[in-house]
Amino acid sequence: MDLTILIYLGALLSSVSLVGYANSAGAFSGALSRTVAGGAASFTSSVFLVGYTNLDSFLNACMSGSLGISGFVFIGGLAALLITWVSNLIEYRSAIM
Amino acid sequence: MAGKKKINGLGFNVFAIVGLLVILPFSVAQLTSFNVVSDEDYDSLINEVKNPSSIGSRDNYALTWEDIGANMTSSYLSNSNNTYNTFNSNEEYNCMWLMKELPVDPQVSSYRTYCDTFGAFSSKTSYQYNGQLPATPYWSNDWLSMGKNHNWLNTFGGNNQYIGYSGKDFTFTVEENIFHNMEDSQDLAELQIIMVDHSTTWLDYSNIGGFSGVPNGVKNLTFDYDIEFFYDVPYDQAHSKITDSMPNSQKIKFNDFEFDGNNEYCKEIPYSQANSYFLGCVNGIEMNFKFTPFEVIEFSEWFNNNGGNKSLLSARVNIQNMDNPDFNSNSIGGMILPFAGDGEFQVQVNARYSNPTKINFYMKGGTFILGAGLFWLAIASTPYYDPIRNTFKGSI
Repeated sequence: MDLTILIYLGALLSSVSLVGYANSAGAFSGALSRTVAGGAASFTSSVFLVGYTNLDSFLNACMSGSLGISGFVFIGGLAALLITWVSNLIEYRSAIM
Repeated sequence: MAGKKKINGLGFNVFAIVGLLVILPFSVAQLTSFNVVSDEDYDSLINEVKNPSSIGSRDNYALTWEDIGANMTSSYLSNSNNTYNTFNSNEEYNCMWLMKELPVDPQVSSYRTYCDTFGAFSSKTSYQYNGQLPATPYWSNDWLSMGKNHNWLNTFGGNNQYIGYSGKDFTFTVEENIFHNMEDSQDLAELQIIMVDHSTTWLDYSNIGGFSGVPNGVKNLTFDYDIEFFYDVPYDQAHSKITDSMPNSQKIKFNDFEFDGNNEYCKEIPYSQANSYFLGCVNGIEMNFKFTPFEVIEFSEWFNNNGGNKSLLSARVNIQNMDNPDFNSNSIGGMILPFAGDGEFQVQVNARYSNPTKINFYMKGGTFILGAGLFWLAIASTPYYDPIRNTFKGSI
C-alpha cells in the first residue's frame, strides 16, 4: 500500500488553508488567482515533501512494521490529522478550526 | 492592557500548517540521521574464509568478478604481440571482458576465466624501520589475496600481455563465504570493502623523523557504487548466479553510494620504538556502505523474513562511472586501480553492526513521539479544543 497519498493530501490541505488565510487578509481577490496560487502551492509543497525529504520512505517503513507499534501510531496520527482537516473543510469551510 | 493585540486562532492554524510542511519532514530527517551504528570497531569478515576444496566449488569462493570493465576481446585479438591470437577469433576471451559463466579450468580454452579465482589468504612480511618491527604488523594475514580482473593473462601459459586498461564500470560479487563470518544476532549497519595492491607500497616515515615516501601515481577518482544482496541465490550448472528470475523478496538493493577521493589508501602503522606510528600507503580504494537507519531496519527485516541464515547471504557490487575529474575525457586515463590488470591484489571486507538500543530509543521512541504529536495536532484542529486559548486563558 502506497502511503504517498497522505503526503499529497497534507500538502493540498495546507495549501488550501494558506490560500484561504491569504484571501481573508485581502490577497487573491479573484477565484482564478486563488486557484492558481493554491495549485502552485500544493504542487510545490508536495514535490518538496516527496522529492526532497524522506517522509515517503519513512511512511513506508512505518507501514511495513519496521518501526513496530510506533510506526502505526505515527501513521494513525497523520491519518487522524488529515481526516480532521478534511472533515473541517467540508463542515466549516476551513481545514483548521 | 488596553490596546494589546489579542491572540487569535490564526496563530495556531499557521503553526499547524508549518508543522505539517516543515517541522514534520525536518523531524523525520533528524530522526533518520541518528547514528545507530555500534561504537565497536569493524569486524573482519574474511577471518574464516574457506579455501575451495576444488576449483569450481562456488560455495567456497570469496569474491568473483562478473564485469571486469569492458569487452576487451577485440583489443587483445588485434594485438599482434599477444600469443592468445593463436586461438580462434570466435572464442570468447571471457576473462578479458565480461564473465558470463564460471569455467573451471583456465587451461581449457572454453573454460578460460581464471580471473574469477577464489581468494586465498596472503601472508605478507611486516615492514620494518631501522630494523625494528612495528608494534602491529601492517600487511599481516588479514588480507584476502585475489586475482586481478585480467589475471587470466598472467595464468594461462605464463603470458603477460595486459593491454593496459580495463574500462570504467565493474561488477563483482561478494559470496556466502564472506557473509557467513557475520556476527550472530547482529544487524548489519555498515559494510566496508577495501581493495589495495600491496605491490605499490610506499612508506612515509616523516612522522617519526624519517623520510617521506614517494606516492605512486596518486590521482583523484570519483565513481558511483551500489550493492544488491541476495538470499539463497540459485546457481546454474556452471555455478553462475541466477538472479534475474529470483523472487523480489529474496533480493534487496541499496543505491546511491558515491566515492569522491583518490586511489591512495594509507594506514597508520604503530611503531613501538618511538611510541608513534608511520604511514604505509598503497594504491587502493575503500568503499563504505553506510546504511541509513531505515536501511538497517529494512535489511534486518528482509534478512530475517527470508530465514536469517547468514551462510545463504551474498551480494553483488556495481561500480559505475569511474572518472578522474582532472582528466579531460570522462574516463580514468591511465590511473592505477588496485584490481585492474593481471597479478594479484588484496581485499578486506569488514562489517559494523547496529546498536539495537539506539534503534529502539531514537528511531522507535522518536517515531512514537511524532505520532502522538500528530494526534494532538488533529484534536487541536477541531473546534472542541483550542490549545492557544487554553494556554493563554485569561489573557485572551
